[in-house]
Formats: sequence, C-alpha cells, structure tokens
Amino acid sequence: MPILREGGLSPPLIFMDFSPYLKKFPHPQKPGWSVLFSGRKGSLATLPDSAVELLAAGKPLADNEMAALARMGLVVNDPAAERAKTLGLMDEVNRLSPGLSVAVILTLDCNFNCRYCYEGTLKAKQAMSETTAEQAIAFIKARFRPEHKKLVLDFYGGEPLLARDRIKQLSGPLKEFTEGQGAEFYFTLVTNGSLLTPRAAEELKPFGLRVAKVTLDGPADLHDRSRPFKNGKGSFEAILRNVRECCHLLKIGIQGNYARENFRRFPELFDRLAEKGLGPEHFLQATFAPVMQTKDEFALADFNDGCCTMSEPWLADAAVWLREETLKRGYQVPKITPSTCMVDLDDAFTVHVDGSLYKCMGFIGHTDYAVGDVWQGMKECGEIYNLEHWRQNEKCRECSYLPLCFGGCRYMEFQRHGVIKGVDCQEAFWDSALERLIQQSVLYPRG
Amino acid sequence: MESGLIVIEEGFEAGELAAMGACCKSGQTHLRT
Repeated sequence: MPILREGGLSPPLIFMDFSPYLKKFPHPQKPGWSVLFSGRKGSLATLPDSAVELLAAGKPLADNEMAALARMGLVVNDPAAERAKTLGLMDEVNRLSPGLSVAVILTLDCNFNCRYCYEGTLKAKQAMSETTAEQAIAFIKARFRPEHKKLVLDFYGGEPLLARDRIKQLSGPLKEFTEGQGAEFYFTLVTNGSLLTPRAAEELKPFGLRVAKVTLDGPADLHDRSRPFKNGKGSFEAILRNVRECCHLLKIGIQGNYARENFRRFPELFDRLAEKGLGPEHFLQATFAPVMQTKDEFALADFNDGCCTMSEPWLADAAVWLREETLKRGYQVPKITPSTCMVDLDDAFTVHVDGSLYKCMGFIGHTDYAVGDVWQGMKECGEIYNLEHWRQNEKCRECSYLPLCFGGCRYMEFQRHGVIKGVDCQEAFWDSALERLIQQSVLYPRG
Repeated sequence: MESGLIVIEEGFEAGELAAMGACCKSGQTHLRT
C-alpha cells in the first residue's frame, strides 16, 4: 500500500511503496525482525516486523529512516518508474563505463588434463602469434576512448603462464599507452597456478600483474582427480607451494569447480591451506561454481557429471552451503548484486588466440559467435548473442529477480540448446537460494 | 520516533556496478563471480 506523506519534504506529498524488487525475509538471529533486500540496488537492511507492518499499512517511519529506505531502493515513489529504471539499468551501466575490459586467450595449450575442461578438444598446441598480438594491441588502443579511465586485461588460456612472453608483449605497450592517457592499467591471470612461481610473479608485476585467479577443487585427493597434470600426476601440492610463495607479491583469488558428488568436501581445502599457514587474510576472495556440462562439438566424451542449468535443485543447496562454509572461515565472497555479464557490456570483449573476437570467452571456437577480428574490427553483435532477450520476454520484465539475472547465462542456454534461442531463466534457483544467501549477508556482512 | 532500522549494505549505483566490471553467471570463466 502506498505511503502518503505530508510535510516539508519536496515534493510536499510523496507516495512511497515497496520496490517491486524488494525481498523480505525473516531475520536469521532476531525473532520479530525482518531483512529487506533490493535486487536492483543490492542493498540490505534489517527492521523490526512492527515497522515493516507500518510500512505495509501505508504509514511512514521516521524521516531519516524513510530517506535511508528510499536511498537504498527498498521503498520507491513509483513502482512503475522503478521497473523502468531496472529495464534501463544495463544502458546506464554502459553509459557510465569507466573503461575497457578485454579477455585475451593467449594459448589453447595447457599443462593440465582437467577431466571437465569446458574448452575440451578445442585445447591444442596453438598460441597467439606475435603478429596477431601486435594487431590486438592496435585494435585495443583504437577501442580505448578518451573518456576511459582504465584498461583491464584478463589473460586466459589454456594456461596463460605458458605464454609469458606474449603477456609481456601485449601488456608492455598497452600499459605505456594507457598510462600515457592518464588512465590506469592492470591485468589479471586466470591460471591453474602450477606455473605461478615467485619468479613469474616478479617478472610480470612491472607489466601490470595485479590479480591471479587460481583454481583449487577442494582438498588434494579431489583436486588431483579433477585437475591432474598432463602426465597424470597431482597438481595440488605444487599449486599450494606457489600460492604460499606468491600471496605476498600479488592478490590471489581462489576459484573452484564442484560437482554434486564432491562439493561437501570442498571446505577441507581451507583446512589444508591453514596447515600451510594460509588464511583468509592471504586471499582476495574464495568462490566456487558448479562444473559446467558442455554438449558442444568440443565436449569431452567421458565427462557427464556437470550441469548446464542453475535450476537443478541440489545446486541451490550446494551454492548456499559452500558460501556459508566459506564465510564461516572468514573468507570474502562476492556480494549479491545486479549481474553485469560481459556480453551485455559494450566495453567488454574477448580476443581469441587467432585474433577473432567474441563477447564471452565461453564461445571461443564457435565461429558463428565470432563478432569480427582484430584486423577488420568488431561487428554488431546484438542478433548473434540475442542481446536484451530479457527485455522481449514478458515474464522477465515482470520478474522480481530481473536485476539479479537479466536473462541468465547465454553460455548455459547455448550448451542446452545449441543456440541462444531464449532466456536462461534462473527463477527456480533464486526462489530456493536467495533467502538463505541474504541471511548469510546479515550474519557475515562481508558476503 | 525511530523504529530501529539497521543498514547493512547501502547498495550500488549504476556507476559502481560499471566500475566492478563483468561478472560471470555460470562461474566457468572465473571473471568476477
């Protein structure tokens, strides 16, 4: 029910209503209190139930509290305007983009033989050539606009540290160029961690290395089964040694990929890290995701344990449980915020090893999803990636989870259907998980 | 009289979301997840 206010505020009469993206859940610790969360803002507050009932009955709280609730997008003047703002959120994010974000696939070669690798048979002894890298530098410079304040490269593979010279070839001139424009430059590595030695870190830091995202799939026996070296030997101990020796040199994020049958053992990883003297203070964050089941032309024939939908009921329970176990141990996890997929961001793209361009690195090698190359430039990608498919979908437009989802993951949709034919609805996941995730954010304010 | 509102997270403006960069909805790419 709208709240009618009178008094000295401008405008003099303000109607306040709950946001269409407001979620109200019981407080996890305080009986008689509620937790309020706005999916559009990612804001979070707690209130006594009696105050929530007053709001629902159209009665205002104290002026400063109403101002806070409005600022946080929990109550709004006009729900229709709030919906319109959400439909335009991605346009606004693009308008305010502070810079360019480029993922670069340096090589398709890897020294690991991960049983679930989503790049599958695409992996090969193929690396970005010096000529392609030179053209990629020219292309990225041309895309960098005067109003941009930063350029971020995410080096990716295969294993990017197999191509250290190429990292330096690309980042050296781009760092000089970007800083010459008065803007910031840095790069990250998405790496298996086996080659992330202190020597490699020291060598790459002057070129802009700031963050390494290292994959660890639980304790040693689980990890080594999922992510062995090509020769079959376990990689866990080598990675832990590198992480311990490099965590003072750069920021390291832990990533992990779990399956239904092994996620319960993933927290043992934190115990193993602790035995090596490593704790949350040594890491940027820790986050885990389900292993993807690919079904495309590159899919590994003998791997069938993954999933390509967030709607599997076990997945919400696993995601919530792992996040809680991570938070309990004091590690940072990603906050629940509106989702900004790189496909939707005008200033984000992927340069493949051959110089072709994609909007998401998941699609590399699927040439129907290439959107040009570093020689010819980037072409319109709206139709190829079904941009704003959520906007055309009535259910999405009305969905209270829209800002958290914006049509879900196109790569999952592609793996399920072979095309991006519709939205990847994540309503079932959010229905099951959001209350518990938000309650975690109250119990552990880092989350 | 105040009801006891406790703000835990102020939330994010569009510019702040833009500054965070891309996230990955599947988690596979290990961009911000």
